[in-house]
Amino acid sequence: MGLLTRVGPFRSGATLLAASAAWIPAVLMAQTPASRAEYEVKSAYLYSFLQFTAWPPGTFEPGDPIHLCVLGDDPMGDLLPQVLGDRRVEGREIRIVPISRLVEVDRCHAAFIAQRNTIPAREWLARLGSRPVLTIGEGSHFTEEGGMVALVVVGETVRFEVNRSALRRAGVDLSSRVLRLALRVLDG
Amino acid sequence: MASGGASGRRRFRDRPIRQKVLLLIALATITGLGFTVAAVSIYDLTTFRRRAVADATTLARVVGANALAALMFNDTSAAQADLASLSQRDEVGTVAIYRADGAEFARFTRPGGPAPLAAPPDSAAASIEGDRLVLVRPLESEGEVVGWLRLQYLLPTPLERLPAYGIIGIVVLAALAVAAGLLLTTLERSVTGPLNQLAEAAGRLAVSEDLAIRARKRADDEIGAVTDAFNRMLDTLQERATALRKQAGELDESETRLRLALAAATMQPWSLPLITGSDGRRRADPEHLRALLDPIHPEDRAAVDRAIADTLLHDRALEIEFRSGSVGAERWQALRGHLSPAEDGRPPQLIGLMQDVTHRRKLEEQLLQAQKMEAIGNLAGGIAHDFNNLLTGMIGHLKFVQRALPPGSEPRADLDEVEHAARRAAALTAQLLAYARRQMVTPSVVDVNAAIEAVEPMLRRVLGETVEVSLRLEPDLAAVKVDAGQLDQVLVNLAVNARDAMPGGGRLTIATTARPADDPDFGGTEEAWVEIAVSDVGTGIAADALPHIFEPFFTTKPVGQGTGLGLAMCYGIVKQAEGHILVESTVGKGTTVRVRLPALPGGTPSAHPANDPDIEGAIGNERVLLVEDDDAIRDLAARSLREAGYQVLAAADGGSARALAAEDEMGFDVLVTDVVMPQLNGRDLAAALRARRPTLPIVFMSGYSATVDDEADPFGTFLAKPFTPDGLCRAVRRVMDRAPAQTER
Repeated sequence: MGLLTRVGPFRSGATLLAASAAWIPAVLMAQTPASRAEYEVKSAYLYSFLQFTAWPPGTFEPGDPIHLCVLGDDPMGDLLPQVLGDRRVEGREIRIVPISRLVEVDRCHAAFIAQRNTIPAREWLARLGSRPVLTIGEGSHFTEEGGMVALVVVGETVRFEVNRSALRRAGVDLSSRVLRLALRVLDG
Repeated sequence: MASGGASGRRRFRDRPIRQKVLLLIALATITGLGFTVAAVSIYDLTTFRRRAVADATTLARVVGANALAALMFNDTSAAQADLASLSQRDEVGTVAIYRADGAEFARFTRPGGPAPLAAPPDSAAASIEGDRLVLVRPLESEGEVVGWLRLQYLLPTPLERLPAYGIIGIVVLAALAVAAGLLLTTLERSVTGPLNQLAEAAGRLAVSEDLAIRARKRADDEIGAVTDAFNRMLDTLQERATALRKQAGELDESETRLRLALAAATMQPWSLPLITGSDGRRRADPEHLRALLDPIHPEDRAAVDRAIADTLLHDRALEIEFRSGSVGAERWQALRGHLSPAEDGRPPQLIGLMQDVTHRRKLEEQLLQAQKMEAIGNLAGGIAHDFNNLLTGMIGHLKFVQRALPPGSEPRADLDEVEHAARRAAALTAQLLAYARRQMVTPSVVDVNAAIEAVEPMLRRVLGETVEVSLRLEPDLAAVKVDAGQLDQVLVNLAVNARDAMPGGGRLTIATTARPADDPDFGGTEEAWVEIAVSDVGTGIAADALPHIFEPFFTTKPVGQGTGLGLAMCYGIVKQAEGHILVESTVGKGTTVRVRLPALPGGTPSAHPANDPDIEGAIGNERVLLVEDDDAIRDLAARSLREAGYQVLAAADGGSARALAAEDEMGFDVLVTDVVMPQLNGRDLAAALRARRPTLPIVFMSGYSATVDDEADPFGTFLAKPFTPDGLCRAVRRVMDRAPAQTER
């Protein structure tokens, strides 16, 4: 995340100063739930997950961007583009793709599904099936419904749960370094 | 230390090779270890920091990679747990992870470890602070610094690092020990073993001196070369020892031969060391000279000393004879030598041989004596010859005068006295002739024992009652050839001498012995001898008189008792019979005269010839050719023969006799001739006439002896001068009767 401020002369100072994880807890303490601060952290987490995810071979052609889809409603608003900026993962451009219709999910490589959504997460997940798309949702229900990674708020921090079966089914691999940080891992 | 340490601590070079190698290995090991330690230490010291930084960096990278996800997902507890797992690594001190803005995210602090980290980092760094390394690394994600890792790495002190090297040291030591063992075994097998064997062989050689010992060669290395050299040396030594033994044997043999030869030649080597006097002249070493002169007869010492001095002075050969030994048993020695100059460090010396020449001297003396006797004999014989002629004339004419005078008349008695004196004179002349070996002899084969027994009764008469006679005759003696009458004369003469030596009486022993050839008493001849020893127990003869006793007219008897011709006559007779005579005498003990005559090989003795019986009526009428250069004797003989009835043709010399014989056409019956005549002598005349008539009877008249063998000339006889008319007639009659009848007449 953002992680940074003054490091590296190449960094643009134009990015969100608040993105630093250093003050996430403070933000969470100071803000109301589902506040803007919470989504700022979640936006940063989305970028982090992309860094630890490996897609099945053949998913990308050289130079292909990673499509990070926001399915249905977008609670993050401009926070996500701000956090991502022009950051890349393994040299690939990250392209935020807003998806509003079920049929549009084919182009996604990763998908964020907000809890409060017009189309329930269950439907989105059903539509994605076993496509190699990293699915990230909110609340423990998300992984129980077949989602892969569920962001949960524990006290003043944002944690996550992982459904390894869903990952296996989709052929998407999440680094073990991330797995061991999960609050809960559903498997089988 | 000086006393105990010197002997106790042996010097390195004197130690056994095994120990030397062991010491060298130990030294090499220590040195090697030292180098190893030094090398490892240098390596450790020079690379330790770099290695520590590399280690810490690696550790930081691993820790950072793990912490990165926890940092990105803000999971402090996970990061904390990750860091806590570092507690197992002792070298890790405090570790801390900071967020990108410098806020501490997680930390691990070792209990009792170093102090917490101070100010948050802002750049990568690595620094050593005392015993710890502090490493600061950024945690990056997608090229973005998302946090910092600060690691405090504890550096172990060199002492703490030592155990790791201890194992290396032990391994190195073990390897060296194994190498040393292998080296020692190899050394034992290939160096010290063969060397010890070689040394042992040399030791055995020294003890046993057995040059056949050889060391066994085990390899072709240097020791093998030494072994070969040792064996070659032994080969050479053995060859040399063999040669030396052989040479020593030859030398011994040669020396023995020389010693025996010298002994056989009665020679002995001598040498006299020389010294150079203060005057620069060489002279004999006084001590050695004294030792050489001491045994010499005192009378000869000065001469020998002088001869040696002369030899040294003039550098010429030394040759001198001298007497040695005790008085009475003197020996003659000949000393020969020359100057041998200094050589090979040997001082100059007189060196030579000494030879016992007693025998030669004796022979020389005997020869001298014989020559003297010969000369005297010639003189005496010459006189006696003329005396005989004179006596023959005197006695012959006396006979005629006596016949003319009536027996019993006074003039006849006076003439008888004259005749008696003349006959004594004739006897003396005969003895002189016998000594001079001019007596006419008639040798025959004689049994000496029988002759002695036959003469014994006469000896008893001559010796008288005070002298006992004993005969010890060896039976089965060989015969000798001698004039029997002369043998009797010898025996009687010796008996008379013995009697005179024993005025108070005593015993006379006559012994005969067979003496073998090579009897050393007579210088060893090839003949066997018959010895007649006549011994008395009388007064003996003084040593200084002994050499002269055979000389005529030499006598120890009081004047009037002896003529001094007895032993001289015996000497002549024995010599004429080709024998020897010698006298052994000890004053006060007695005298032994030994007569040796050659034994006839296988000769059988004839009976002792009886004296010719007088021929009765020695008369005849035959024609006699008489040859005599002495007018008186010729007249006497002619008259004697004519008075006996013979016809006499007389000639004064050989030449006219031969003419007369030719004129007479050999009509005469017998030749009576003198032997010794000028021009044609009797023998040649006889030979000439015998050529015409081989059986011609001949009577030889001579004052000299002339051995005529009756058997060799059966028709001749000798008539010794002086003769009587009757003797002449009997001799003529005897040859006439023996001769065959003259067919011519």
